[in-house]
Amino acid sequence: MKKLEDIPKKDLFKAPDGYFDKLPGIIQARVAKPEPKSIWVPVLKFALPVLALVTVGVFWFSNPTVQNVETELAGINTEQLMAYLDNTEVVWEETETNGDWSEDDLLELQDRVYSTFTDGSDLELLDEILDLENL
Amino acid sequence: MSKGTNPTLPLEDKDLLFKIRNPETRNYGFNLLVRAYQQRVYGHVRKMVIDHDDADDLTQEVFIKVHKAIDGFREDSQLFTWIYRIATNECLTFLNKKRKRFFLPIEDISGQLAGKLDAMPELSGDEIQKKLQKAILTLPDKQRAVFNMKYFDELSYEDMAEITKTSVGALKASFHHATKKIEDYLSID
Repeated sequence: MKKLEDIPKKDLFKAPDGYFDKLPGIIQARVAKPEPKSIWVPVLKFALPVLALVTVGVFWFSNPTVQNVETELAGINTEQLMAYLDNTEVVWEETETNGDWSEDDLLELQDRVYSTFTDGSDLELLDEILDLENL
Repeated sequence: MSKGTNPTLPLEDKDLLFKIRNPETRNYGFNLLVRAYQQRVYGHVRKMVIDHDDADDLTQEVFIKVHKAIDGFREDSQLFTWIYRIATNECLTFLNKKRKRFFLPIEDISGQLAGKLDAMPELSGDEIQKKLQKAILTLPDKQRAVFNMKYFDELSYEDMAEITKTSVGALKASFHHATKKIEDYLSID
């Protein structure tokens, strides 16, 4: 098993010759130059909210399905509706989960994992480690 | 240095900030700041992105951001940890953007960076150093930054905690895991 301490530490990434002599001047020139202002920023600031409203409006008014169903249900006599429900068999197989995890399953699992940590600081540490290791 | 206490800035940093905050000496002061930190910033960035041209672009961006933000620097951290934090964030943002642009998972970005290592004349003939660098590239970006800062730059955990806004405990754990992963990689023939 190779140990890290057995490998000589080398600084392999050398800058080209003269790079650090020129870099301050290049940076100074860039910070002295005013940044070009984009004309699109104010245009987009107003155009985007308007576009969003128009999109929502088009979607809302072109989708009659929800409104039609509610209108139709409102027109049905309540007694007729109750009679229909009493006479219709509910097929329970259709309501069983297909094996996918529901949101409740995931929340329960999270609670079970987190309940093994009795101290809140352990949880914080775990979150920090997981964040560093991209998990 | 414990979290939350005001660090005492080194005299050189106090002098730099004084010059930068004075309109008459601002440019001169900022020039001195760049000269004081450019090698460390470049080294840190270059280890993350490997390629010199990318490192050059990012190093310039770091100092431009420092210039924009220096008036708001509250001196609640050391100047160099503040600059290092900007540099680290620039590297992580760059690597994330690269990943999204090419629609590649993390392994392929590492492969791309490993390819740049193969092209480096400094590594030609030095197989163990090349293997070490490739091992480091297999680490997730944040963990790689932590490893580089500890192993190559030899920063203290306290300084790294200021840079990454992460606890010393988490950093120690992350460095330990990184070392283990690297040693496992090095053991593969």
